[in-house]
Amino acid sequence: MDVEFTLNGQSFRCPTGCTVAAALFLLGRRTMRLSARDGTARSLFCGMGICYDCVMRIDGQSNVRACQTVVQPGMKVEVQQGEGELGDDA
Amino acid sequence: MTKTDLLIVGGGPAGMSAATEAASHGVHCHLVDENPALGGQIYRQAGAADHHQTDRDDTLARKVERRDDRITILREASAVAVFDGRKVALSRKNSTELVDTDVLILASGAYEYVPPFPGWTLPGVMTPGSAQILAKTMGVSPGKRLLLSGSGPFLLAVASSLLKVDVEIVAILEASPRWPWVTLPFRAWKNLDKWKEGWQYVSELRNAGIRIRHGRIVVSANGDNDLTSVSHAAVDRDWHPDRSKVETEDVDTLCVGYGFVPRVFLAQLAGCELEYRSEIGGWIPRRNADMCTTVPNILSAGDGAGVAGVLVATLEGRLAGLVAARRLEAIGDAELTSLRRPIDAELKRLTPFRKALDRISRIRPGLNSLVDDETVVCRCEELRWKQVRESVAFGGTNFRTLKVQSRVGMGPCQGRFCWPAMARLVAEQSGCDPKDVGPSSPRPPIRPVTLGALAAGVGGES
Repeated sequence: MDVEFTLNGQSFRCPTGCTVAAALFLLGRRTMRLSARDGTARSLFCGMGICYDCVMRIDGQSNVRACQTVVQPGMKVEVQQGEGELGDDA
Repeated sequence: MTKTDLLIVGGGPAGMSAATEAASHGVHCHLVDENPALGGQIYRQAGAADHHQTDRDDTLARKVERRDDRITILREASAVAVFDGRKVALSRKNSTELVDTDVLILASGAYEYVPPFPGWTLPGVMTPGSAQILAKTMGVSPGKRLLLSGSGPFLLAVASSLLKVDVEIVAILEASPRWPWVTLPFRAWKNLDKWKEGWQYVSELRNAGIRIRHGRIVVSANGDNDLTSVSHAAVDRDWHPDRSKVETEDVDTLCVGYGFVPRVFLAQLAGCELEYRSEIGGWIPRRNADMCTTVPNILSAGDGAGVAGVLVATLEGRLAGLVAARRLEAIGDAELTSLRRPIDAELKRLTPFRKALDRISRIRPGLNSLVDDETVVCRCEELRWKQVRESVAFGGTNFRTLKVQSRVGMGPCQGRFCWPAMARLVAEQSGCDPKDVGPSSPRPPIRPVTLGALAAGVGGES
């Protein structure tokens, strides 16, 4: 267990090299976003970066694929609400 | 703008083979892949160094990397558009660039076919490939109690990977009836080595006490905000479920996939003519025996040109690399003829096995009956079948008309996941063949690119 990151503001650790999706599965907290129209929970689906179902708000940027993003020390991961918001740097 | 003789899109078995073959005849090429490491989905390399299993075959990737005098590898870059049949737009996290190439080889691979059914958007429902990546590259278990469902030998390979992580595999549901191979023509038995590989998986799973149940499919995934159970039913020869033979299993994870769909978006954008071949995944670029599409100097190889597995992909990649070398005048006609002979012979030897497997695992019409009016059929736009059905009744007959009416395929996946199954549903609804419904019509960029990445284009090119 070597990388510390936050999920919705709460601190967790995961092994180095884990994707955000894998880290969330390890925690047993696999809801990654709430859909825009119906607000239903969505999670990892295709796992290879093409379905865009697992998008989350990561380090202030929305619509980032959890399955393609490796957890970095101090990364801020948040469950995305709907379409997401413009990034902090926008 | 970067200029190259040969650009190869896709770093899986086909793309890597094309690159090494062309390079071995003196061709300088660029090989682009969207992942951090070469290998494609089948030889996907480990993300977490301490956790990966050691059974991956990375000899091809090593071969490519050793040829760095002639092969330039562009990692973590996605080909998002093709202009004028020779300029390819590559998008990275924070930049985009155009590459101008004399010859283009598309080796984009394939993704899994999952038809819509009630509850399939719940967290915990995923493709078998998705679970395999978690288990194989990161040693992470996708859940506690898991059911695998669908068709084809890939399910067995995934189950075998899952044996190495902490998860209880409740059962494998294979839609096809029990012993389909007894009906095979004698010719198919010539590829005995391939059948043996399949049998090894079966006996490994049997030894682990995992039950393979033939002739059953998943009819619904159940739960409120997370998967809690799965209902499955016995099917007839056409995979129509018998609703009186439903069983419900408490599981937290369902992996479901019925084979693969070729990735043809780039071929479509390049203007390559497509043809519909349901037995190898649906829409594929029309090719001749030289792997050439209908657009001059654009070739296509591997699963992205028709799903046939890693052996065929490797051979097709080598052949495409040779033909590219000929086009670039690195080899002559006589050399091409003699070099391709063993490749053609091996491709021919594998044909009976491929045809048999295509026949066993072809998609049957019964899967269409899984949707009800409230089933989400387009995951991105959260469209329900009722809305699409009404659009069809209103006169929507193809991707474009249905897109305008219902927003189908307008989300970030651009119809990759919904359209292959939707085309079948729409065809059934309007009493025609899926090939008459037509393919989706992708628009550049074929995957979301941030405005920042576009604005930061290299060298100010448009």
